[in-house]
Amino acid sequence: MSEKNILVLARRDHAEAMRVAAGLTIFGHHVDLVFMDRPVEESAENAANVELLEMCDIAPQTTVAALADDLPLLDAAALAGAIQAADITLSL
Amino acid sequence: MNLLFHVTTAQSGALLVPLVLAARRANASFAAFFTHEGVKTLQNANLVAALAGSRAVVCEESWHRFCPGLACPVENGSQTINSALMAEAERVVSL
Repeated sequence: MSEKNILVLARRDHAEAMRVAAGLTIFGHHVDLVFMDRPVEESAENAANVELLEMCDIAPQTTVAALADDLPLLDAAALAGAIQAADITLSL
Repeated sequence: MNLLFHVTTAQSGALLVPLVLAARRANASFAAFFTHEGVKTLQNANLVAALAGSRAVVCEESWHRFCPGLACPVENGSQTINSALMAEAERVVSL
């Protein structure tokens, strides 16, 4: 068993990606999360998941320009660097 | 464990079956974790047969969400097991 650096790309379902990312911290992994494709929908489920991320010390980033006021914005090169730096990249 | 297949989409089964068979030919040890719409792939009998003898786990929450009322053909689990499998795996294939 070894702790790993895991990168979760939130593409198809942001809520599911947040749930999975938070769960992955249980065994001590360092987890990064990047919101992609579109802005995160404002909903009660997503609000709860954001609180879950905070509890798990996950600070999300994004490639979505519309979220740049709230989250660090990654350009293509920065995203490639994050993928290269991770032990595991998951796409959700 | 050499490989962990992390299955998240309903279309992943078409890729997973040949990958599992290739892993067996290579004598690689592997497991599979199914979450979100990836649980739907387990309705494919060929996939379930290919996984026989290896550890396959579904996120129980996802199973109830996407396959309500159906009997689950593999081990029920949670995101806790997902996290544990990530720790055990040498490599992870995200599908």
